[in-house]
Amino acid sequence: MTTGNHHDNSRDDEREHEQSLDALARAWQSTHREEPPADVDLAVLREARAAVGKKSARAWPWTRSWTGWLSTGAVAAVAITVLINLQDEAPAPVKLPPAAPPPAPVTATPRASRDTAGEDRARASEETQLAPVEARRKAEPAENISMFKTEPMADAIMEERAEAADAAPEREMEQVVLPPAEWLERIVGMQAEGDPGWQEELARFRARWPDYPLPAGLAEAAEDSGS
Amino acid sequence: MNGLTMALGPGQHVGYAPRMREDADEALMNRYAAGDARAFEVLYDRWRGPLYRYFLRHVSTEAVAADLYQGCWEKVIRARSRYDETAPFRAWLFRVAHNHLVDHYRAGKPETELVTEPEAPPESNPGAHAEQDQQALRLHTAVAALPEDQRDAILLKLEGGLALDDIARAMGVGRETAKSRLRYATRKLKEVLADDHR
Repeated sequence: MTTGNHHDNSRDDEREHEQSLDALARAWQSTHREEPPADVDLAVLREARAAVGKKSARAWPWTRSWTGWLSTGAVAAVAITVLINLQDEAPAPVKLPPAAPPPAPVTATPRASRDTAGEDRARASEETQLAPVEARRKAEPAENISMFKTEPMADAIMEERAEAADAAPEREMEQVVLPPAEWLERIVGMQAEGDPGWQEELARFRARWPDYPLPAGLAEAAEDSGS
Repeated sequence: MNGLTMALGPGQHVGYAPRMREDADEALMNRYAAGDARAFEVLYDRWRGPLYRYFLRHVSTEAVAADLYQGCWEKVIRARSRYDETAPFRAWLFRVAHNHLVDHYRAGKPETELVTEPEAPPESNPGAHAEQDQQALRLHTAVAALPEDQRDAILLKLEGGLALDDIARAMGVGRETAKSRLRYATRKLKEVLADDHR
């Protein structure tokens, strides 16, 4: 009986609450009906449109399975192509000139190194041809150079440069620049000593100084020998 | 002229198809998630007022309410692909709103303190609507004076039209707790209404 009363009371209470809530809702509806500012409306709608402007993930689920792989493959292909092109464009000299080739407007080759004079001239010519390339390489930032060349090539270049740097002082010592008078004295001395190389040295002198007067004995000997 | 048309301006007319106007909220939200922006416009027009007022009754100023309101819709837009169509849209919308509000309270900004005195209604119509305005003012003041949990429960009911289970879910509490909060709030507001009728 008590339980039944409790249930009845509870039901009445519930009904009363519902009625109160309905009355409250009606009263609430009649209160001011404020609305959001117009600029906020526009901002929200603009964002909503922009969000679906780029395709919705739910709209195209079937593309998701392969578009990811396709884009990854495309990026990889472009990267490999760029790498190959960069390697092709990078200069790959096998032989590099020494760091500082000596200027030699007039050189007199000592006897001991006369046999290698031709090689020196050839090397000087090669250096002249390679100079712009070397200058360009020096102008390049270090990271660019390392990006373009492969490791074995870099090792070869470094070895060549080291050897050339070692040989440079010796060549400078061999090649002595002499004034014409001293050069002629040296040639006369060679002739007097019976050195057969005097004629070749004289020919080099005349090529460099064609109008310089020769000593009488040297001129006659030269005519006799036909140089 | 409805609110959305007003927001778009007199030269801009949305022009919904009649079928769209009758669509359920859940169907519209699904269509929006699939990329139909016009479905969102219909949905927005339906819920812009109740959602704005839900925030307005919670916070002190219109500027803060507008800020919260806009932030809430931004969350809805971002979460569109996660919407579960089996749940009522209004329950989902107000759950997002409730969580957004809680985040805002937790940020603890001084300007987000709860309402103590709502703004007075405009004095432009002192004649016929004066009594109604006074009642509205008293109701708003009474709602603002409620404890935060009770205020949230009653606003979810009055503005969101949520059922008890949805109120409980939105607030993250049990059904009985939500029911209790709603009862206490209703009782206090009923006293305000009773005073009006005396």
